[in-house]
Amino acid sequence: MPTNRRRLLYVIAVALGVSAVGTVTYIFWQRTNPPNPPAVDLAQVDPEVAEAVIAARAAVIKSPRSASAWGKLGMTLRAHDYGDAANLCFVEAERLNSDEPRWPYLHGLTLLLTDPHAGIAKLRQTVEICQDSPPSPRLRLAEALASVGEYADADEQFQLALRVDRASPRANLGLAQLAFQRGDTKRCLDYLRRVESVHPGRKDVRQLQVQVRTRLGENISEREQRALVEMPDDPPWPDAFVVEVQQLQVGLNMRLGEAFALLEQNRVTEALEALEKTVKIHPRSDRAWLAMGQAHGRLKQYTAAETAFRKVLELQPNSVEAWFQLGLAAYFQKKYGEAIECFQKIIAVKPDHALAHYNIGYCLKETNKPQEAIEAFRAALRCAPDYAPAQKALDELLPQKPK
Amino acid sequence: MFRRVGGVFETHPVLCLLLIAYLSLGCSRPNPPTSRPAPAGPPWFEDATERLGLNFVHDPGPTGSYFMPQIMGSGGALLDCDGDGRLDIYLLQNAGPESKSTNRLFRQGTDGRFVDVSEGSGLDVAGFGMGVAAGDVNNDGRPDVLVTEYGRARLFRNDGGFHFTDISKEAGIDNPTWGTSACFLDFDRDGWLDLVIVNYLDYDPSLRCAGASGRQDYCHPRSFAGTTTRLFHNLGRKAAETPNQIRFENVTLRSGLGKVPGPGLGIVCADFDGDGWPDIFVANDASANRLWINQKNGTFRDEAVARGVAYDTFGSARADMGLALGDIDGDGLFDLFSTHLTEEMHSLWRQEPRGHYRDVIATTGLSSPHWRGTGFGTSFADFDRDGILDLAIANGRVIRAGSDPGGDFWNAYRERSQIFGGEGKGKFRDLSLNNPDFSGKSMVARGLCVGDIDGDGAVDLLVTTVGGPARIFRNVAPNRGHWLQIRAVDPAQKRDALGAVVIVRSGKQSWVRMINPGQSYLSSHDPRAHFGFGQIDRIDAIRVLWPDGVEEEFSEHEVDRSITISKGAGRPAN
Repeated sequence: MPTNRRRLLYVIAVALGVSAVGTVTYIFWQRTNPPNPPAVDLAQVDPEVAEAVIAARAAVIKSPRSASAWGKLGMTLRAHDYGDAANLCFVEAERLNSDEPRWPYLHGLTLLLTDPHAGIAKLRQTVEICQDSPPSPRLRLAEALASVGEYADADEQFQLALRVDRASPRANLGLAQLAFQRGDTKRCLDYLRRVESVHPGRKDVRQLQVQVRTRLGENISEREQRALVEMPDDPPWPDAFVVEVQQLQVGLNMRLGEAFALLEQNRVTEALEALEKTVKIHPRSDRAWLAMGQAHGRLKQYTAAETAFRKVLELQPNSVEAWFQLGLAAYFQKKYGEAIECFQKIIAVKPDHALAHYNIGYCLKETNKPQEAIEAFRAALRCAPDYAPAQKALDELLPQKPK
Repeated sequence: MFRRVGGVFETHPVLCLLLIAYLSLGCSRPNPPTSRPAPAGPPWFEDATERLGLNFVHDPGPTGSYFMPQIMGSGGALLDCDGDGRLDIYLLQNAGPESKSTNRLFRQGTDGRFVDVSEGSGLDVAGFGMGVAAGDVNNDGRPDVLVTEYGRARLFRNDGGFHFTDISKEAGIDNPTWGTSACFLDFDRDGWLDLVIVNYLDYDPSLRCAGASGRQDYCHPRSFAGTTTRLFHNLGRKAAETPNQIRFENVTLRSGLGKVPGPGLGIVCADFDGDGWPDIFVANDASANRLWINQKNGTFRDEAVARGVAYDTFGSARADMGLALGDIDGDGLFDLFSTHLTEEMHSLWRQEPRGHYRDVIATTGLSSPHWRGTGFGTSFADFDRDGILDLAIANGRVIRAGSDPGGDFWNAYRERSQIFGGEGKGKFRDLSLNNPDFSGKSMVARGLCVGDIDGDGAVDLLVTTVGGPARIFRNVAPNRGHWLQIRAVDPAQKRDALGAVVIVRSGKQSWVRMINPGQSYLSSHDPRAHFGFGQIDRIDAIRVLWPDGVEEEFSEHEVDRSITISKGAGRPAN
């Protein structure tokens, strides 16, 4: 072989060798040196949320090869709606510990929202790791398969779930929905009966039953249909991994959510304690002061309630709810003029506030101004034609027509 | 590296070993995610906005206060204001009644270009404009215009010559709440168009909402109670004090619609139970939908739950917004499509058997698109005229997408719209990647109107956006099949027969359309029915079910034209 050609061949060989070594080095480095944790924009974010994200991120920087640190950062980001950044963390956590089902599961749940097939792949991976312990990954996989029309696969997954827990209401409901899609009303009803025997009163079960009954020729009354619509929404199925994420939520939204939940359960004193802590941390939150005023009102602590509502108005001078509550307080103290002023402030911001018009009508009625009261009640009905108390009040004031 | 051996190249061993080693290292890197291959094919739409002279930029008002009506509107309309056979355009602004930004009316000239004739038209009003409905309420042959707003609704009588008069007060149209979509229908079949206005939320503008991160954003609809859909009965000449006066009576409570409030956004008025009388479907946001079935006595009954359209396939209430009605599987029955949020699957309720519906989105190909979006304006139409309905969806978010992408305020809400080609039997394929003009650019799209804007027999699109330009997308689908465009009129009423159902038959095949421009989201379509027939070049008959229950057949054979059929000119159908 001529010398020049040989030299050229050696140069090529050396170049290829160097490239190969460089590539191997790069891949090895990448695999053993995790990436930097994703940075997210924390401008205008709740300070408690920012603190939690920064702390979780710092934990990853301190222990970059810790799957649980990456996973916790991912969950913290996910809890506060940073889905894309969360997914990057779950990928890294999964790479560092491929035996942990949480990471592909949470990654999959987020992917389902925008790319169902990618989400399904992650859920399959999760089920391979954990099988049915816990049961939610397989059930979630089955539901996701059903949502993209892969009914046979979905059916198989639900059936596998039933092998572990024959009475699983979630699996039986899923099979009922599949049976309905296939037009198998008998089987659908069978599965629904199984759900009801374990978990009576579910709205999604009732609405499917109504559909089946209609298809079988039954005439469902409007009352029954309306009662079904007015049922409270079904609680989410238990999911320990999702609960872990929810427990990482911090900030004003979380605090207010907890306080409202306590108020709904009539645990007003506890709600008030929680709100007192909240306004110390978020003193400029009109929502927090509003909730506090409502809690004081529930405990008949009217002076404290009024103080809280006035604080709301310092922060948000147009607060419809604060003016409404102050108006009510004035009305109950028979300060009708003051009450009317409060309700009129509401109408200036929200002209179609039916209750404000109605309350003005009541104040005017109490102060012996029936004609103006009539106009106010009419205004209330104009905004809400279905508001029966306004119609009743109007009827009482209108001159009776001779028979 | 290679040397010829007996005419065949053979490799130098050392170099090849190195090459193989190098290539195998590359193979060990994780593969990039596989994206679905885009189907081959040229685009169906091109952006013709500038060429056609449509110059409109939506003003949603100042940003930063997260005033909720700002993110929900506005819509528009395609309508032939002057009866010259060419579609004109009406577009709404949303900056408030004190704003200098007024709604705009554009007349289409003989050259196909649009000229702004707003000034002096009477339609150049300012407000928090939401939706438009077009219909001839006084049967004078000219379509009138209803505009819904946050805080009121306005009815404008078409006086001819692109002049309109606000007759809301004298007509008795009073809607002080947050109106969204609206629709004209003749619910009592007396020949006079009645009006239904959907209302959204009992909104408190002083409430500030935030996402999970604490950053302020537009409020979720569940922060407020829903409001009632209002029904206005057209009294015709009965209560008129002057010959031209139009009067409506608010029959919301009496009709039953006032019994149940809801956060209403979309509306379709059509015969959902097959009894020949128009019913009303209201899409509710994050709440059960309503299907008001006409009881033929001035009252309606909500049967959404029993008929399967209250919830999605899993029994959940979704963010139902835009609506499209069409026979997707060629069985002669109308099916209903509803758009939802990016994080939710849309719904497609297939009618089977008549009057009953089942959400079959999972099996249509629409549940696995190239990307998801928060859908608003939407419509079925046969864009390529192959005889099968296609689907267009205008997308744009209502809450931020996770991390802030930076840039201008609306960047966090922009999404790409979508086009799906029908494949028959209720299946669709995603053609969005093939349509860069329509689907390539991210927008905060809201209204979508369909109609043959340039009169070439192909359905075009008009899209409105929040804070951006309105756009015309001209249909340029190649190899389009044969077609027919039908205007159905009732000469006695001197207007389009809104609510009529038109069925075209050729051999064993038939196609069905409804005459009613009120669908989609906040929008009003071209009222003509457009049909595509693929290779079929001759039709056997046209059957029309007129709104008053009369059925007629028309013998029409030629295709590839626009025709007008009039009630009374056909022969009674068997």
